[in-house]
Amino acid sequence: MDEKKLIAGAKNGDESAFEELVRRYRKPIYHLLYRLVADYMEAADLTQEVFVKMWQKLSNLRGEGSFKSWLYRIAVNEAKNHFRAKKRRKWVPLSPKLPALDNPEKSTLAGERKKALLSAVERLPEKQRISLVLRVWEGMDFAEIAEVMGSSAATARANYHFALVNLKKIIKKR
Amino acid sequence: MFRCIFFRKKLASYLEGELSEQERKRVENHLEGCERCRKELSSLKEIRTLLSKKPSPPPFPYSEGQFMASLRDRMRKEERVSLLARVPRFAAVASLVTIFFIIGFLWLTSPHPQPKVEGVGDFTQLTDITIPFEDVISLVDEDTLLTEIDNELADGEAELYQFYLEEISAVSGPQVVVALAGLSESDYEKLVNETADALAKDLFPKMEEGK
Repeated sequence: MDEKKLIAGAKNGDESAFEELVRRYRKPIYHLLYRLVADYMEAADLTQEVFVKMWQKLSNLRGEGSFKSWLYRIAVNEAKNHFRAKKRRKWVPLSPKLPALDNPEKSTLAGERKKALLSAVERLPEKQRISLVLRVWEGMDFAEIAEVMGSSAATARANYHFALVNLKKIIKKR
Repeated sequence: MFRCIFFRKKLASYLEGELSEQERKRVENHLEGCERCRKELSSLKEIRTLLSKKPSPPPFPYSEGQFMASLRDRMRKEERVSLLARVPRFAAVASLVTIFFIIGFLWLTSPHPQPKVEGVGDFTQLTDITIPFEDVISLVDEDTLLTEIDNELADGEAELYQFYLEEISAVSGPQVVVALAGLSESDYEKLVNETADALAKDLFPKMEEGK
């Protein structure tokens, strides 16, 4: 079914339309949250929060902007709340319990570098990390990132730039 | 070096192909002549390449059925909380409406005077003064009246006096005065008379003396 019809149905309280939207976006939202919070159980719990918020806020959804950006914005805000709750601070070393973002690739130098890099992503300041994840792994352009983050495209571009520069610095230190 | 700082800020966007044609050419022209910036671009490109493979998350820890059931359960709980949150507001509104109905009913069923204000400007009705002038004037638009008194005193004292008495009725209204003061019809008339008397003494002492 056409997404616009599903959104209209869900806005009018049609639970089956809402559930179809959940089915379509459950995995993408989980993947995004996993890349942001680096913990699959927390990402799964936050995914549920995102859809509860989606249900509550659907009546506020206006025609302008895409539904995906709107939903991703909810997810990014949930991730930010999660960061705050965890009191993570930029550049603070990670807890040893926190899993790496990817499966370890121990056998090659490239694998080690990649593992180190993904671990470094977790240390980036919040906005840089979000910009990087949205750009590199979600394939959004800077205008879309700006829409999701509620900022200007120039700010999104600057955050992304500093994310790459900071990653380079972290990797060099190792 | 200054030019390098300017161009380095654009390298990430250059890598992403997010620069305009004109900006892209300017960056490329600079890169041709600047080894430091070429090295910077190369290291950013390496980072970008390493990042290009998406980290693959572990499978979602719940089946679709489990997730949907849990989500439905959670939403119902949220709705109950939302309804409960509305109860105090609803109760407050209901209480206010009930109070208004009771007051309205009592007001409609109880006898209340409809004073007839006549002859308030009649000097012959002036009697003893028992209510201070300040208390009475506070029931009406004090600023307007005092301004008028200041402005008009020299012109025509009698006209001003009449004006003031009319203002008491026009601004406050007989019912309002009665409601505010909690007066009966006879008390209201007394109030009007006393007001007139007080004002007369206050504004027209000479007239009173000559009465």
